[in-house]
Parts: sequence; structure tokens; C-alpha cells
Amino acid sequence: MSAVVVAAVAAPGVRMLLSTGAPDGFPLSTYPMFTGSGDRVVEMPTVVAVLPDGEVERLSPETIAGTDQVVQAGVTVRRAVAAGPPAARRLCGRVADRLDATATVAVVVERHDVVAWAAGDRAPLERRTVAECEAGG
Amino acid sequence: MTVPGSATAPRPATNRGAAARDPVAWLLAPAPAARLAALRILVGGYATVWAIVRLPAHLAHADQVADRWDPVGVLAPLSSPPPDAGVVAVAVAAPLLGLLLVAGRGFRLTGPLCAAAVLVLASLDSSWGQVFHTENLMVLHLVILALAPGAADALVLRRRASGAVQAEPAPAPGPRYGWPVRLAGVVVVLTYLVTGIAKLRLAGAGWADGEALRNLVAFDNVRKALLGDAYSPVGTGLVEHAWVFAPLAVLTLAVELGAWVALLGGRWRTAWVAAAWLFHLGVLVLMAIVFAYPLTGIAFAPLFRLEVLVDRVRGLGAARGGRRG
Repeated sequence: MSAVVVAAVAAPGVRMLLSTGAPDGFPLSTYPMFTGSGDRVVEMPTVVAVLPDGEVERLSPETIAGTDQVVQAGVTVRRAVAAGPPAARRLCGRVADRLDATATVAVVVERHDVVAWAAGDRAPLERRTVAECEAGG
Repeated sequence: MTVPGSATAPRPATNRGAAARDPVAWLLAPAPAARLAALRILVGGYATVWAIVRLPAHLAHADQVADRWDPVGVLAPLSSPPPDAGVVAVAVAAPLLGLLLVAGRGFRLTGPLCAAAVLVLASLDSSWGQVFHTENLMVLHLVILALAPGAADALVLRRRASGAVQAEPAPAPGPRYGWPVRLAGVVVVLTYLVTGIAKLRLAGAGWADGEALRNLVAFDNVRKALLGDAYSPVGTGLVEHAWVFAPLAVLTLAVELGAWVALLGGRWRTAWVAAAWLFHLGVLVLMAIVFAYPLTGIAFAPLFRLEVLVDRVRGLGAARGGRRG
């Protein structure tokens, strides 16, 4: 029985040695944390609220995707953007329903230089709006 | 410290390298029942607290939209999210089962049920588009405990006819109390090794130069900020100091790929556990990511002679009782 457990836990690592495409799982994992390309300039889809005075307000993972997990909120937005405008509009509508304010909800894709951001340059290099809708508060 | 009825088994002259020389004999060597029982209490206690703290999030899974469903692990066969009533039932049952597991009550039933409930809940957490890696060890340890019927042979709370709650005396040391703990320790080591292999295989040896780590720390904090979550001001501030990240990257790989030294025991084990704990502290400080299971130290508990802890707790209790008397 111990051999089975050891083999099961080690198997994802062995699979990864054979192929970098080995899928992750739970609780038997390939543990691919912090192995991304580490690019300095990245595109990040997110959802923001544009207030009547034009100010852009960041929304919480709870408001964006009904979850307390920031990564899952990010994945939700990324998938909606990748699926095209209808999916982005659906996401926009859900976020607007959760938002307790009068604002324009915008599903956007922002490009950031992450190192420059850390140094204090918080404005995106580019912001592209994929979908917009109104939240009534 | 040793007290009457001590749980501590005689320490072998040396077991340095025993795991490599004869792994089967090492795995099956006798151990005191208190060692396994202490692991049951520590892991079960952690899982119980986790299930209570995460209860609102687990209940919220019932309100999720189905198009976010991306199941993993034991939930992978499900084409749609489990029924809301099932989610609520498992979420509520998990902490109660955890309490029973800690107490050692009905362990042959509550042990496997608790492990199954926590496995389902942790899988559910990871079934919405992102697999998390913070609870793997806890789940694996619970599964091992569930497969070890001897886990409730000691340190079990039973209610006597008088109504008093009392711990039962421990049985003699035996192999059935040793292998689950050692297996849990091997699993700890394997998970870190696989993590290190993943970095080298997916990102290459260049990961050690620190540039990728620096950008990943920056990226993770930017992502948190853009998605309205708390980010680490320390990690963000450190990104400007590029030179810091090369030694951090090398140390990270050393902890992960050097995890096997923990099985040597003694100072090697203690030094590795300290390094691994500091690694997780660094992740917390730089990226605001909480690996609570290792940070509490419970993830590393199987690598230690836990019966010593039991003796110390009993010694403290005896000393307090003596003072009162």
C-alpha cells in the first residue's frame, strides 16, 4: 500500500520528466507553481468599474467572479475574453448585478510592464475594452 | 522529559541513511502508538480548522455559475457541478468529521469519511479554472491516516460511565504505528522534489538566474492589484532590487531538490525543515500567498518523533496537576 501511495505521488513528477505537457491534478500534482515564462510585459484581462466622474475603480474577486480566489477570478475573465464578445458581455452583466454602485462596468484587457508597475508606474501601457454594461447600484 | 506511562520508544542507535539502505525495513520499523496518534490529532486538527474557516467559501460553491466548472481530481468525471445540497452537506459534515477524527471516535468510519469529505472540498476549490497547491499535502496526509487503522489506538477520548472524559493508555510499539507516519514523511519529501523538477523541466536551468522569479513576483502582485485583492508591498518594493532574486531562486531550488535530506533525520532533517519553512515565509512576505499547512509546521510533523511532543504535553499537564495538588 505504501508503494502505491509513493508511486502515485511521484508519478506526476516522472510524467513531467517525460513530457512538459503533463497535466496538473489534485491532490496528485505536477506542482507547476512559479514556472511561468516570467515575461516583463504581460496582458491581463480584468473587470473594472468606471464611475460617473471617469475614475476607474478596481473590483474584488468576489464581485468579478463570486469567488474569494483572485487567480480563479482572473481565469474567469481570461476565458470570457477568449470566448469572444458575447461571453464577455455575459460576464459584464453578472458583475453589474453584483455591483452595489452606479457605474459603467467594463471588461478590459490591460498591458502592463510589471517591473515598472512595481516601481510606481501604475498606468497600463494599453487598455482595450472588450465589453461594457451599466450597473444601477 | 519523560513521565510515567511515557509514549517514547527507545531511540535507535542510529538510523542515518536507513531509508536508503533498506527502505522496507525502515518503513516497517516499530514505532510508539502515540507517534501516529499525535499525527492524527495534528493533521485532523488542521483539517478541522481549515474546514471551519473555509466553510463560507465552500458553501458559496453552490452559487457558482456552471460555465466556470473545470473539474479536477476525484471530481473530474462530473460534467457539471455537484448538486447544491450535496455541496452543503459535505461542507457542513467535514468539520464535524474532523472533530471526531481528532478525538479518535469511530475512527474506522470517521477517518475515511473525513479524508473523503476534505478531498472532495479541496478538489471542489480547485475545480473552477485554477488548481491550487496549498492543500495537497494536508489531503494526502489525511488519506494516509484514513488507511491506517492504528491511528486511533492511542490518545483517544472516551467518556466513562462517570461522565469524565479520559485518554486511554497506549498499546505497545509496533510496525502499524510507524509506516503511516514515515510514509507521510516520504510524501512531504516527494512533493517538494516534484516541485523542483517542475521548475527545471518547465522553465529550465535558467530559472536559477532570478530574472524569471523577479518577473513572477512582480506579475503576481500586479495581478492581485488589478483584480482587487491584497498584494505584497514588500515583494513589490523588492522587485526594484534585481540582484536579490538570483540567490532567492537558487535557495528555492536547493530547498525543493534537496528535500530528500529530510529523510536522513537528525540535524539534516531539522535544517531542511527550517529552510522549507523560511521558504514558505518568503512566499508569504513577497507574494502574499499563504501556504498555511507548512507555515504552521504541521506539514513537517511526520518527519519528527511526535511521541516526544506527547510526552512533553503530558509532562506539562502532570506538573500543573502537581502544583494544584
